[in-house]
Formats: sequence, C-alpha cells, structure tokens
Amino acid sequence: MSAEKQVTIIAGSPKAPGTAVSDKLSQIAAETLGDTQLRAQVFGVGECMKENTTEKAYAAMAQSDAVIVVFPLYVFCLPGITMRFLQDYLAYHKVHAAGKKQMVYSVINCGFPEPEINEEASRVVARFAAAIGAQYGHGILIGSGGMIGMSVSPAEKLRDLYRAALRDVQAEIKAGKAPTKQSVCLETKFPRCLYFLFGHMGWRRWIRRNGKSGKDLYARPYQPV
Amino acid sequence: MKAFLLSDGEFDTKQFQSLHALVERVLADKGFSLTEKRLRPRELKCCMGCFGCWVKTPGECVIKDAMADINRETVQSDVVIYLVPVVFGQYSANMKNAIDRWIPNILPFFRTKPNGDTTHPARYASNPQYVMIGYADDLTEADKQLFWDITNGHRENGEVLFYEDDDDAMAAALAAIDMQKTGDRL
Repeated sequence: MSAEKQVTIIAGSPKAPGTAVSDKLSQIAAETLGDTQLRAQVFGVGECMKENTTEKAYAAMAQSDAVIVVFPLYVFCLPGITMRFLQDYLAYHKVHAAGKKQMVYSVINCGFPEPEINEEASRVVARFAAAIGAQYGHGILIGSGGMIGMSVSPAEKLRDLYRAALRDVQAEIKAGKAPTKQSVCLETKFPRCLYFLFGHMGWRRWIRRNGKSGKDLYARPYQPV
Repeated sequence: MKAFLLSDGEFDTKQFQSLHALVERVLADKGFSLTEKRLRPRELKCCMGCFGCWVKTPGECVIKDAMADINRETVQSDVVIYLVPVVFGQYSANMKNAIDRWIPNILPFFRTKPNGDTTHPARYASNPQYVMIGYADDLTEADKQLFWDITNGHRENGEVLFYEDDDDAMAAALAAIDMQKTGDRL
C-alpha cells in the first residue's frame, strides 16, 4: 500500500474568510480529494498574510506532492494578493526546496459566463509551476463562478461537474503523473441574456441598499473639468 | 498633453533604470508633461473584491491609499505608461494590485464584445491610451506571448511592448505610437 500523499490547496481570494467563491471551491476540493491515500489541507492567502502564517503555508507547499491554486479571475489574470503569495513563494522555494517531485493544478472562477476567459490565468500558474520545477497538470476553469454556492439547479449541476473534474485530479495525483491535458471548462446551462439581466438588476438593487440611486452607478468623480 | 507613468519600485534594477530614463526622454521629446508614481514594495493594499467602487462610492475605491491619486491621474491623462516587471508571464504583484484597483474606472454591467467575449463598459467617455512595457532579466518567448495575450487579448486601447535592453528599438517603438485619448474604448 502506498504512503499517504499530501495536497496543499491555496485559496487565493482577498475576500473575508468564508465569504469567497474560492473558499467554497477550496472546501469542496478538500472534501473531494481527501481520503485514506490523500491528505488535503487548505490555506487562505488573505488569512495567512493577516495572521502572519505565510511561512507555515509555504512549508506545507514545499512538502506537498501536489499544490492546487484556487482563485478568482481579476482583470483577466491572478489577483494581486495571489500573485504576491506565489511571487514570494518562489523566493522561499529557492532556499527551502524539498526536492520533491510535485504537481500543480489551478481552479479559476470568474463572474463572466464563459469559462474560457480563465485560460490565460491557467497559463500563468503553469509558468509558476515551471519556475519551481513542478509539473503542471491543468486548470479547471469555471464560468458564472458566483453561482457555485447557490441552491438552484444549474448551480448544483455545476458543483457536480466540479467534483467530477476533481476526481480526475485525484487519480492523477495518486498515480504521480499528469498526462498532458487541456483545461477543463465548466459552465452552467443558464441563459446568457438572463445572467446579464439578473446581474444588472442586482447592481441596481445593491446601490439602492446603500442609499443611492441607480443613476449613481454612472458617477464620474474624476471627470476632468 | 499629459502622460502618467506608473512603475514598480520593488524591481528597481539596472534594466528598469535604463528603461525609465529612455521613456522619460521620449515623452519629453513628444512634448508631454509627465506625472509619475513609482510604487514602493507593498505600498498598495490589494483589491478586496468588495465592489464598493461600484455600489458604495461609485468610481472611487473605498480603500484610502495612493490608489485614488493613481486612478485620478489615469483618467485625466492622455496616455498612461506602465513599466511592468513580468513575473510568470503576468504583471508583478505590486503592479497587479494597481491594475486590479483600476476597476472603479469601469461600470459593473456586462456587455458582449464583437468576438463574443464578455466585458465591462468604460465609466468615462474619454479614456487614455495605455502602453504596457514588460521587462525582466530572463524574459522568454512564452512569457512575452502570455503577457501580450493577457493584456492586448482583452483590451482595445493600448499597446504592449517589451524592453530587452535595446534602447534604439524601444525609442523607435514609442515614437511610432500616436499617444492620445481613445474615446470609450477599453
């Protein structure tokens, strides 16, 4: 029987712990991947930086058989906070590399409906993997990410697809090899026009709750006079 | 005409200094008045993903730090030049914080681009042209392609250049860019 393998999941959202889609995705990943042969541990980037425990997360990453970086798409690539975490890990790795054979995966969610828009961010994580001498598996790219925690049928289907994609990752980590594979794109079957409509209604509702009008959404505070 | 230059003080290398001096010279030759911000390491807080810049203080980030001045200068300039250390084919962490927190300058609504991709409309009717100049000591072709795809693959109002210690080539490339406002294209 093979020894237990270790997976470190990095939840790369800057939002408050437990409120982010990436936290939910990390939690599902830990539940799905963890079994008698795999031990999965989640570290939140924001918490690590706030509580000054980044080194603990880095030590876990350096000792892991696989690292999964989970984050939201910010302006078409990794958020600044996730980038800071990985950029500083590279410096840590140069000193503390454990010389282990490692695999890296990414799970990327965006607010836009189309998952393919996350593709470049997956390539960034692949470049990170190359920089630390690890093998990059692939990215799991999720569109309409905001729906992942909802109690509606399209969201349940999306979570099922996500778990299925994670089971493939689990098998690859256990086998210790990731075949060259394209990104896995996951999306809801929710109509695009309705997604836009509900989104736009949501912004108007949200700003009114803050005591402003829908017109205020269009404010131009820096307009040159 | 106004130019705004944003750079990352965490990567204050010899290469950066050469590039910086070159860009200053080209902008002066073109007759721009230049405002500059060089980010100190970890100077900017990261975007919290709160959407306060859309629904609490529309058009302004709710975090009070240097970013308010950066966004004001961005909107009020004809051209914004970013000197960007390329890390893993993306923007360095400092620069990415500034780019993430540029989103007060767009609206929350979705729109579909001609190629079918989703995007957000511009907040302002008139926006600066951007020029992103990537640099790194060990810039690979893969890094350059990825950096270009992340930037020009999604935006319509700018140029991406790479500085590889060839001052003449960079000066010629900058001189060839017609640096002026690009309307509501982003």
